[in-house]
Amino acid sequence: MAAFGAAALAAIYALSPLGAPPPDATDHLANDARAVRLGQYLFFYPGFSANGRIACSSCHQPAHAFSDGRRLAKGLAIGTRNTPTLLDVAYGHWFFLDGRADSLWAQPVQVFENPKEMGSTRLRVARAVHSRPALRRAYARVFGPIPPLSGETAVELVVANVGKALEAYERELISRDAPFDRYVAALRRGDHDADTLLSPAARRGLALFIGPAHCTLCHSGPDFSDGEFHNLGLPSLPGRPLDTGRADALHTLVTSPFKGTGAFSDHPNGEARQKLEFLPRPESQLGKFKTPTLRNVALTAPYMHDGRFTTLRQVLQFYAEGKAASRGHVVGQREATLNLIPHLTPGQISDLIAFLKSLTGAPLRAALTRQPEMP
Amino acid sequence: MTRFTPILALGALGALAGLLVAPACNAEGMKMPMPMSDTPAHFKVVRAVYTTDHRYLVKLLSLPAPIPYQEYFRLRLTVFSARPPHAKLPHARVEIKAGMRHGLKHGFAHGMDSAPRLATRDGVTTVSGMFFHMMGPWVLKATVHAGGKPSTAYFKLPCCGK
Repeated sequence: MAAFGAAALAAIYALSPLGAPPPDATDHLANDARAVRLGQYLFFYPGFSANGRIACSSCHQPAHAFSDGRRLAKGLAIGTRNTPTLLDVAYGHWFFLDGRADSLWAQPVQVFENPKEMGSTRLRVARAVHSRPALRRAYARVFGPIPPLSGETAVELVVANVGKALEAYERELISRDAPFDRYVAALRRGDHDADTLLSPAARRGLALFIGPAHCTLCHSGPDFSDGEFHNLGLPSLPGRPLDTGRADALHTLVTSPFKGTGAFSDHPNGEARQKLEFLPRPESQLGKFKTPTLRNVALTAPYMHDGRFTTLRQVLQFYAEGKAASRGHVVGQREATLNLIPHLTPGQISDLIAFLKSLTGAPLRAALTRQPEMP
Repeated sequence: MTRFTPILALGALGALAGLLVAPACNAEGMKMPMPMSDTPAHFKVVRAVYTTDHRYLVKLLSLPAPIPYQEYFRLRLTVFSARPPHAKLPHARVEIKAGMRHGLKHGFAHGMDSAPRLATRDGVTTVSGMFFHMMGPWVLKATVHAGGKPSTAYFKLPCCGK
């Protein structure tokens, strides 16, 4: 039986199991099975992109834990940020690394239109659905008859619904049954052989993670993220444009017709309104990026918003080095929370890595990882 | 496996942070003992605090208990003169900030990821849009403007219940 005290056990139990994703009130079809199927088809469908060859799955590859293994995303051109995993994305409340979308259905629209990603337009996306009988029929089954694309509002409605179908599929991408989850379940049951489910190194790493390394301050809860934004003090990389993080994202968010309080939201007056009403000032968000989930982190290298670190050891060495690691120009201000992280020995870093590897979930059902024959 | 109690590590930091917060007093001005630890389970929310220069008494009239984690919440406060009979100051203006110290002597290691809205009516300030996104001890900084130099009161608020 593991020798964690009551407080440590409480901290461990806060990390597992991963429950059902929170509802998305702005999308009343978020859990609709027909929307899931359409969304899954569209996820692998390259017809929205300007060159007809790039789909969501081009960067969010099932074989790479719905990331791409690249330092920087590559669509029509090389982007400026690393591709985040979509596993467990449904647990977030802000989307993109800088939070410039406030719902999972609003997120894909910006990908369609980003010249470095799909380089498309809303009209092209809507026409792609409108002009293909199978897609039209599938759309109609979920959302009702597709309207004539005679005006901006009709086009945006179709694009928003495409986003909602994609959201429904992405909400299925839940990573469960990691070794850590099995270990916690055994602890909860009081199994005497719980320790056989996690290596001694991983258990030492867990003790560090919930304790003196202070990882759970930001990587909290069953999805190992507070869902919010932090400035880690990563110095700007030579030759790369300055990345202001969330500071510049806020304008994009509030001016989007696809925001949670907009015309295409199914519940514009609930939490969606609060999220936008109380947004922080942009200057306070300089250099901040969203805390990523750590589930499946061993599968999603490289790391950080710009993919600068290729290994988990490099990431942890950065944290362990403290303020000294922020040499050079830092956009905004490094968050002093990071000073709580103590120096970590190579052995402790190895233990933390062993723990992080225990967060790799069981593979998804194969049927979820490929395009269905029909939408 | 070594027995590990994170309470101890947090508690040490919390005790340090606790020393740096303005003395907490009850509404009658009696000093209240500082909690042993800033770990949420171990510190009590003090509802009335004098500003550091002891000119004003700030009272929290309402606060969710427990404070919800990663949800917007609202609180109400009002400002009184520190001198008996503690007259309410209906024209006092209050600025609010909240953050976590994480051992810092001054300022916050980080603030909230929200910008609350304040509305004052009949001397009661309602603060909407408070949002605590991290577990642990938060500090609410209420700066009173009621003529002369601003004056600040600090409340320690534990985050959070689920």
